[in-house]
Amino acid sequence: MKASRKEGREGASSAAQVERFLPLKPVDFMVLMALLDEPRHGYGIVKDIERQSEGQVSLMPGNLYAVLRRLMADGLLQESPRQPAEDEDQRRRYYGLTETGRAVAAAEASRMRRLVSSAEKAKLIGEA
Amino acid sequence: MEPARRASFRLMMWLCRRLGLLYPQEVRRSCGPQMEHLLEDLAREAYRGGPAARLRFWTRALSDLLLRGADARLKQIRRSLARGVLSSAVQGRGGIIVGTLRQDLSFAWRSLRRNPLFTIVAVLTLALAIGANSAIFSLVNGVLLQPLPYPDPDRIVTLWSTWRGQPKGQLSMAEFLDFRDQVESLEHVSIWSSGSVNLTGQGEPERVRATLITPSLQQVLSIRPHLGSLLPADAGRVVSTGQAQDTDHYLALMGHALWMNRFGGDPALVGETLQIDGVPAQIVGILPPGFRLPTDIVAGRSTDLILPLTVKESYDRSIRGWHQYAAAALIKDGFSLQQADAEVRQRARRFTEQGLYPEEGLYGAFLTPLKEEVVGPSRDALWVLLAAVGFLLLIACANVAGLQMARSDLRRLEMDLRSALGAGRGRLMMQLLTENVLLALLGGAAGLFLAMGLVELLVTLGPASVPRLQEAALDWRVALFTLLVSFFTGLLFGIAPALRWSRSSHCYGLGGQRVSTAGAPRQRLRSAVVVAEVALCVVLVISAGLTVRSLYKLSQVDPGFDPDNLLVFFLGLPEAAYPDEQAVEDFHRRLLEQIRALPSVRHAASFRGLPLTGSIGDWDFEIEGRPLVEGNEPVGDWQVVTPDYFATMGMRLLKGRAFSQADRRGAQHVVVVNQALAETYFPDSDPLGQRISQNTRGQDKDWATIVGVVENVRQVSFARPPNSTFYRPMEQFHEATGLIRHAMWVGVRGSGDAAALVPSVRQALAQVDPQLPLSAAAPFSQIASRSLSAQRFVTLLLALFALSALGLACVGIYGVLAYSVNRRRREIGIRMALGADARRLLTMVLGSGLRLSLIGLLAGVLLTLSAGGVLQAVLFGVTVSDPLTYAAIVLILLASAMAASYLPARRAVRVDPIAALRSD
Repeated sequence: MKASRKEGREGASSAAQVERFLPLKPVDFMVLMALLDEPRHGYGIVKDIERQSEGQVSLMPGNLYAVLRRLMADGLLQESPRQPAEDEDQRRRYYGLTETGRAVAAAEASRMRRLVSSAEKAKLIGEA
Repeated sequence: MEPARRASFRLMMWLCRRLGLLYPQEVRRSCGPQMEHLLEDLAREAYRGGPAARLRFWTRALSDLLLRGADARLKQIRRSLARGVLSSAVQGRGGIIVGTLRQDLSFAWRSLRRNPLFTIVAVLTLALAIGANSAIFSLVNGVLLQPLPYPDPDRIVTLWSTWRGQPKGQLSMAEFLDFRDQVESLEHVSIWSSGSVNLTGQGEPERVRATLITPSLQQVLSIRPHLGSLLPADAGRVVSTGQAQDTDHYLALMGHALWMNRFGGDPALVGETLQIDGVPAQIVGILPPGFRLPTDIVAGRSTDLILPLTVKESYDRSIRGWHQYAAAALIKDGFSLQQADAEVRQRARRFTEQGLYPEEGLYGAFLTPLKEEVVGPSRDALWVLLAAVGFLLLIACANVAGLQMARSDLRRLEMDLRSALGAGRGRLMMQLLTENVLLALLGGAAGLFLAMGLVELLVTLGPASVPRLQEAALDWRVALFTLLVSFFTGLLFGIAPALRWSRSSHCYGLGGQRVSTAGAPRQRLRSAVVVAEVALCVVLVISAGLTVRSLYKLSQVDPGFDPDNLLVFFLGLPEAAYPDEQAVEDFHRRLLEQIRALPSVRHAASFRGLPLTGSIGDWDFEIEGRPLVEGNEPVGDWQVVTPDYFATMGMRLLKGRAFSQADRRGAQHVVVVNQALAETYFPDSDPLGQRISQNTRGQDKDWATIVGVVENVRQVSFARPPNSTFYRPMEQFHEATGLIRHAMWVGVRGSGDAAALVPSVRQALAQVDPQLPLSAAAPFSQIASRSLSAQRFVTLLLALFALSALGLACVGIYGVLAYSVNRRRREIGIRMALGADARRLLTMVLGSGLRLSLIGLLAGVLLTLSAGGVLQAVLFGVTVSDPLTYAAIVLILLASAMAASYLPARRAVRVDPIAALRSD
């Protein structure tokens, strides 16, 4: 019984921890999305975001690394232990999601889904 | 990436790295390398697009770094302040200065942002002027300042000989041998001569550019082969001098471009044997990519094959007459250019003393640095352009200074307040200067972007006749130049307003109430600035006007023949296939018959030298019945032609007859001379029937009778007056001199578009000899137009700068009048209330605009007249004081000044007296 209560409390505190980040800035969400599958380096993230946004968002280095630094400071990202391959530029660093980062991205996605479905209910847009 | 793009890439990366210093150190350490790498990747992607994509990319990248970097830095400062720790930079005496500067900078930034319209106008004006300066400086940098592409360029000199009527000539074989053996201050004295050869063997026959060199030239230019080896020092071939050829084998170096394009960069080619002019030639090495001989840099071409020129020592010592070799050498260590030059001059004098040259021949020799030779001819034009953009910058400074002074009224209250709060005069001045320098630096940054585009444009549009123009690019020198220019520009346009401000008496009370309407001294200063601006503008516009007139005059020069509907191409008959004059003559007869049989061809002829493209060299001759003075013989440019030549070129016959098919080998020898020769040597007698001989030395005179006089043809260029010239029928030339003309041009006159003739002419050539390539085929109108390209380029640029200057000067006049009308609203109101009519007010304002412009005009005209000497070098047919140009320009400027004054004048007329009186 004790044990389960403790678990419950931890679950609650981590949900609160996740809620704290919401709503995410669109660019933060895009960066988290870019790292869902695998760790990527800066160029990879920029290209993935261009793909996600169909070319509408294209980050410059100053902007991207400002976001990366902030997300790392918040504990949503971490530098991945993956090293650049032999034939790659050795300056490359890979970044990956932390567990919190993944949870925050998922929470943001559900938040957006709720928003979209209320827009649908209000007949603002047709249902997907 | 091509060199211009690579240079701009490097420059921009460098700029970005500098901007990156805005970031706090901890950030630079943790993410710096990754950010740089990402930026490189993205930039490379952008460089796959056009200039617009690149411009967009760098604008975004720089503003991104500027904003994020400043943001990160501010956050760090805020954090340290919150911790109560002032950064060490703000402590101590040096720290106070840095702190003050920072404060001034941030204040200046805020002040500029508060007045976006002023800032945008000022930055754009400065960007235009600074950008033009940076772009022209890139040209000056690429063409004049960059060292030549050889490891030791400063030691390389070129050798020249000079004689009566020839201030600068190439060397003959004997002179080369003498200088090589006798001049102690030079080493590796070398000569070379460029031409073209037919390359056959693998694939289509191809005409390629080939140069015969003495192998020592490889040491002078420090050539390192890309593959294989250099020519051995004793490599040899007998130069064709009319003697039988005694080699059956060449060694050759191949140019990188030919190797890549024709042989796909196959390394196995080294050691292979190809056919050059029908003779087997073994390729011993490949030249490094981009390698060019000094003469190639000047001609804007590159050599495809280098073959050794061997010298038959004993025989060649007697060849003093053929000045056909470019020559270069290295100055030995321990000698200066002056010492080497003095020694060469002294040697040449000794040749005359030894009796090798006649006293009257005035034979001499001298050295010039190689660099001077390559870039010397474009120097005047480039300095003129740089001076022009310099003037443009001064005008822009005057405009921005004018804007600043107009703002000074608006900011009077602010300055008075600061002064009342205890800011010293120096402190106020520093503050204002900081603002101006910041403004100029912003203008400079924008100007650098503009320059990037401009340089690409200039390099694309620029004429091929300016050597090394292709090498112009933005590099660190240009960036540094731009930075310095921007900085001093800021000081220049800032110093006058700043001085005035900090020293002026306080004519406004702190309450912002106008205490007095006196503004005369300030208005005088602004007027003086406008007068200066108009004067500078006059100099620029007159210069542009003069070059436009000069270009017009050049294009009106009658070249002496009709370049329209005329196709020309070059033929080099290989000596192996055409060993004697009979074969050469037969070939030309058959070819011309084939071409004439083509529909829409009216005339066709072969000839030695192409008009309008450079000197064809001269030849001494003797006039029958006149004693020959050695060293002062009659001399004329020599053309060798086939009979239909004059009709083909569309040259007018002034007297006598042209050549006919009867003027052949064996018939009585005839010659046609041009008007210049007739006037020089037969001023008082009829040249027709007189006889001349090209053999001035031997006993066996081949007298040729002058049968016709033709109009002068411009041989070297439109600008160069025609030389005395004589024309000989090819067969009789062969007979008289024993020299065979293997290299000839062919001209084809059609009834329509010359370019359309190329396919049928190529077919005709293939029918006569399928091994011969049709090379350098071009409509003559194109060649004629190309010969004016350099003048056109300079004129276009000057006209552009002059237009910009005129625009800026008009804005300046408008600004000062609009400002003055605004200030005098009250006075105008009173005048109107007292009954002044609109026309008088209009005249009053227009009159003050006119007065300023007239003073400026006068000053400008005087300035141009006194400093126009520089300009004369690029002018043709007009003097610096050409009255027509001055009159036209004065009218244009007055009209522009009137237009600029009209708007403020109209505003003055519309002043509502009641509102004006009530407003204060």
